[in-house]
Amino acid sequence: MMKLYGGASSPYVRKCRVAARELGITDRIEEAAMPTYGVDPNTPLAGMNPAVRVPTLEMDNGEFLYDSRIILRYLNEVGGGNLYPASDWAMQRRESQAEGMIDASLLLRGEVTRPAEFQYQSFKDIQSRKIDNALAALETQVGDLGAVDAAAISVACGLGYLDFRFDDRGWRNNHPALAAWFEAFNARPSMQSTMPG
Amino acid sequence: MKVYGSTSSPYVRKVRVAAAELGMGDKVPLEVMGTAPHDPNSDLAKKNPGIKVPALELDNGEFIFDSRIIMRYLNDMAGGSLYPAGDWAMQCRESYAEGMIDASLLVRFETALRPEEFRWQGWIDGQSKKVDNVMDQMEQDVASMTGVDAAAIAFGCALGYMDFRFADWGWRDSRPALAAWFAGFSARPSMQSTPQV
Repeated sequence: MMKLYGGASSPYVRKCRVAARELGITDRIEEAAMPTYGVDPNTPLAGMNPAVRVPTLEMDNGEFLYDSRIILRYLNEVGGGNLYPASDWAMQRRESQAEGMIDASLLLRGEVTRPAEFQYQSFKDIQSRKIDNALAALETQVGDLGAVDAAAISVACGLGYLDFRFDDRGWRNNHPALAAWFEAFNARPSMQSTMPG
Repeated sequence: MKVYGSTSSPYVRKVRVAAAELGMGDKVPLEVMGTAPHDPNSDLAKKNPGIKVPALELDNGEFIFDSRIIMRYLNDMAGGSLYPAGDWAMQCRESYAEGMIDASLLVRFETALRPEEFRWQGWIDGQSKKVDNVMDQMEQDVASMTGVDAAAIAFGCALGYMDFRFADWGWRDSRPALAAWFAGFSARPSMQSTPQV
């Protein structure tokens, strides 16, 4: 039995959970919460993943696998899926664009939850702009988003995270094509059963 | 083809080192984007919102990023061996090395680009601990690393960045195996021809 470590609020953990459901291999994976550590890396996680990040997957042989892209590739192989069509570099780039949006969202979230005296507006602006730039880029590529591939899962988890933590950004307002795509993808059981909270 | 990026970024260096190791260095010249590669006012960013640096521009005008995807692409084109099939452990080493780069970049931003009154020492300490945690793992893992693969390149660029920005960190002090490994790796032409400035 594999073990996936990470919490329900992490968009990167969600990528893995959604992938496991889409691949139909949830019966082979136990999902284990891992307490969030804030800035303290002295957690059991440090012994599993030297970079102290979730998601981290414990494989059947007791070894650990990370990060989310590698876990997705592994689950894809285990599940005989098609999340990474061979030589589809544009798809992988879209996955990277989605992750750029997620990274900026996480940094923004980290900044706004700092003690107030350490929050720096310029940093917030930089991350906010990166989010908007990623959304603009994805809006033009909605037609290329495959039914279910690594990029689609990443985009969906990224948009879901914006809904969860930055609802007031109203990302749908300026991105109608992406909003329509997300409405359909978000209705999938794999997304509905992994809502962040 | 060309690569967009700066000469100070460890991620840009990863791509340049990989290209050189694959014998493609002259096919993938660096187009320097200046000291603010994420400047949203740059022509490149205006035409390609959401672009990440390093970015590889193909002959057909398409862009590929991020660094891992660019390296896989170049490896594929050159028929290289930077990503041996099924070597998940190697991919994890690349991943944790990138985790170290991410953490060191965050420390860099916090200490060099954030005004002093907004610096959070707790955050700096936490990210610094991650950097040390990864290097402790590297100290263990280099014993089994004999060749040049994506992980080795990531290790080399991560450690090179430490020497570049954090000369006082003293990372070699308690890590003799890693120091010896890096002395050998950084002597390679691919590293010598891509100094960080």
